Amino acid sequence: MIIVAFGEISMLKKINLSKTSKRQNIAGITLVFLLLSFLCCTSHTFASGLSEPEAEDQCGQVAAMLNSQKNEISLELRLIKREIAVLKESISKPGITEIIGGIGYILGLFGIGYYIHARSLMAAKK
Amino acid sequence: MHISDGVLPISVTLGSYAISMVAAAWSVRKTRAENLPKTAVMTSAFFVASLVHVPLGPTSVHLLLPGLIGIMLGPSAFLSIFLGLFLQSILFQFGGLTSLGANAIMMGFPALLAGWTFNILKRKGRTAHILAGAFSGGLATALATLALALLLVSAGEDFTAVGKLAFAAHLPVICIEAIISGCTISFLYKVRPAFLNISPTVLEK
Repeated sequence: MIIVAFGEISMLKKINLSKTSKRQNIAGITLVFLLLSFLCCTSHTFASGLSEPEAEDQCGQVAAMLNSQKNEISLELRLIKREIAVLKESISKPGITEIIGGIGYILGLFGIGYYIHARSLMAAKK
Repeated sequence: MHISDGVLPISVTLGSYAISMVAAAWSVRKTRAENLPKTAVMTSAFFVASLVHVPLGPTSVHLLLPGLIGIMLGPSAFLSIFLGLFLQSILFQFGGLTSLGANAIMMGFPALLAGWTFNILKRKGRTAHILAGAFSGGLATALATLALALLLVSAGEDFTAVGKLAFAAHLPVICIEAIISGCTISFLYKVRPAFLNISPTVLEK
């Protein structure tokens, strides 16, 4: 492919040299080179001259690779999701702070209740 | 066993709030000042008990203790459970603030009933006390399960399906609660009979 491209460029070079100035010449060569490299990249299968079954085989290989990649990624995603679920559960689980705090609230509230009662008792005594 | 926020329809939520508020106010009126420390301790026990998980196959259920609270506190049990549930919903995110009324009804009324049945069933002697306590403890949990099923019916669930599921899941809890209630009463009968409203003179006879 590359040899063919160089051949074409040299042919164009000859034509261009005879017709246009040197500056236009360089621009033209660059353009052709870019076009050819683009063709090289996009139509690899055509350029490499593969027959249809071979091309199909290559497609199948690529598809298989993509599939295996997809499977790997989905497996990892599942693992990550599971980890997130475990993490969520551990976050939502009340810790020792909440437990002690809650007991403190209960004792404090009943303490206030008892205090109010005691105050009314004291007032009654007076 | 807690009903979460947004499960019950608004009418049921408001209605259960009203009922539980009235019951809590009645409970406060009935609570005597000298029983306040006991009530505080039992409330703490109820508050923490929901963290004791009993593994059950793939899932787990937790202790409820309405029976024991009812036996120990009598009419003050509703206040104790209401306060315990309130703090659980705030600190542990168990249940929710909007479903607090329904949860209080679900656990509070069985607790009151357990106290009542214990007083009726108890006879002289330690074994009779233990049996009455175990029965009341188990009964309260079973009734709480029934109340859960009834409340979920109002949310459009099928009663028999929910009832069966809840009862099957809580059958081990009912047994464990009965055992715990029995053991606690046995211990208190020996150590501090005054907690069970038994005067020491009766005990000596």
